[in-house]
Amino acid sequence: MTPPDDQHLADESKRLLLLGRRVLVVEDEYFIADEIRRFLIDHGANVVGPFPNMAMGLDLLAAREVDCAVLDIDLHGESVFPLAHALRAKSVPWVYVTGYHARDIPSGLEGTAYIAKPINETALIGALHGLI
Amino acid sequence: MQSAKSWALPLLAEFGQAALRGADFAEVMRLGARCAADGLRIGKAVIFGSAPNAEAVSDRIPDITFFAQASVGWDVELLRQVVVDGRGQLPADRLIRDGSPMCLIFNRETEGDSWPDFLESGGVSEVICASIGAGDTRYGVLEVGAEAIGHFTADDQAFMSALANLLAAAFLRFRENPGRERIGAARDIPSDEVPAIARSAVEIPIGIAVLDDEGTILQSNAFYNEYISGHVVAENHAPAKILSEIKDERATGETLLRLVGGKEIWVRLDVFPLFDHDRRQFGSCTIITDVTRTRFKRLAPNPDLPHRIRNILSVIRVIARRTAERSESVEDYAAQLESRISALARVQTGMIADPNAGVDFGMLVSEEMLAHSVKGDKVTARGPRVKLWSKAAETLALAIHELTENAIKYGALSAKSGRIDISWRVDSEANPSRLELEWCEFGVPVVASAPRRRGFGHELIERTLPYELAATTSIDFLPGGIRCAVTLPLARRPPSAEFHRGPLLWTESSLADAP
Repeated sequence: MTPPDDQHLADESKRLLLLGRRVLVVEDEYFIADEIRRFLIDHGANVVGPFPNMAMGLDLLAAREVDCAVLDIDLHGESVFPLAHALRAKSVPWVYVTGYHARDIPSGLEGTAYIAKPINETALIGALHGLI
Repeated sequence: MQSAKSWALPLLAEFGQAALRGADFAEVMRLGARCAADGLRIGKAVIFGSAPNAEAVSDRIPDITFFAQASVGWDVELLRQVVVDGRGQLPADRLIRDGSPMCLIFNRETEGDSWPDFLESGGVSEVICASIGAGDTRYGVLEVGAEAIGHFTADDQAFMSALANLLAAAFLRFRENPGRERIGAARDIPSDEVPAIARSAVEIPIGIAVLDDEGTILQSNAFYNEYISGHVVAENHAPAKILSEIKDERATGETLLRLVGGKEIWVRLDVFPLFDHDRRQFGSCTIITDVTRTRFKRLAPNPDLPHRIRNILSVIRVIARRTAERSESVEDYAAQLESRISALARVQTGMIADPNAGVDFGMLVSEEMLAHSVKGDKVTARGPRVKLWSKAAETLALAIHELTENAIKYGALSAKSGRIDISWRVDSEANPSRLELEWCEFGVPVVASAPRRRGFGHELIERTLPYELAATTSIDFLPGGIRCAVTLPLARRPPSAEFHRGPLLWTESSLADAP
């Protein structure tokens, strides 16, 4: 039996990083939200949501603790920034997934990472690893 | 270019005559307000402006002060208290301040606390305002109010803009004769007065000319002369062509002109026939408006577009994945994916061209049927005109597509005796009001039963619609065919206009039967 190589060990330990983590997902497009949910579940995360609008995200945040969040910037014309603000107040890190260019994000609410749509699974999971 | 509704054109032509020939200022204003009320089929119109004999009133911002000059359907006492000076929070003030747009729609929902008292007291929830005059020189504001939000459409904006142009011409005529409220008709003005009109017209970038039925110019202003001597670079209709072809109907065209001196501008031409009291045409009126700025805006990239494209690509990717999961063969996969992307493309085409226009639900249904060459006798589609905002249109289009595909494969469109009844209504009693949609299939010989596996169509209807549009949905398998019901709230405009500049989520414009 050959020992697992270093790369494999690194992958395995990364895989554990999201295990059991509560990840809030706010994304207005059903299919994209569902895709994010699948990516996260595949990596062992507990998905909170997904929610299609900011109000539901804020309600959830008031009621429960989350470890990190994945936010779409534009929710049917409503910007997600108030929710980002609430996350910052609770010291919860987040990443954006969006079709917007990074320069549209107000200063102070930049988040930790910015993932352009269509979402690449590796990029999303890698960014979340960076948060934890 | 949006054109006004066909029934509004005779009204404009008739008012064009009054604007250019009417001898009494108050009467012209009254006819203008009546034309606006009739044209928009709503009885509440007002023209704010300054009377031609008003003293110490400058044409230039910020010294303008407009009062109600004429109104239809309004409590005159209410209007007497309203002053438009470009500094307040009235929609008319804002229109003047904003400068460039010719016509805007405002509603109580988006304006919130700044909704003016006189509109509130008058029971008005939405107003459409058009600037009379353009650039630095504004003669006033034409404003029409509606009780319901979502009443006014892009057609109405085009109509209001055209009417406001005519009113500008009227103001210009009377302004040329300060201190007099009654002047002769345009064609009666002696020719030696024409240069005076041309001089004043330097202030207003609208070319106006009255021509007799031979096409000879009876009266024109400097802008008209400048525009008409320009060289046509590109055209929808060349001015000369329009002028020669106009006999008894209104025409509109857009032209890129290279003016003497080399400057290039886009102009819009509106030509109205003028009739005398015996309904005989005695000539025509041509109005040329510089639309370079608005046209440039229209051709400029939609700032929302990169975002939309990325979202669409994301949706297509997920659809491709879902289709692959559920396909039985490569051929099946390819065919299904192609038809789904086509359905998505159909609804996107109009939205990318004009993201603010909304998508008519009846059109969406009939285009889907057309794409599948469904015979008219197999399907009835009935319901009021309902305009959908882009996301609602996109998801509903996919849902209608899945229902249609399913009907072709297994349901009413696969059976000789089968037919589909699609109906929708707006329940405005509910709060918020809602759209109720029903898709009923009849005459499917095999008694339908719920399929073992839930397909993509089911996911769209049972999950996507509730998630994205807060809809409640049901699919029932009844003897004779399936029945699908969708109820969704008629959401108002999104709370922030920061990302979507679109004026509407939904508008219910008329109760005319859908095609």
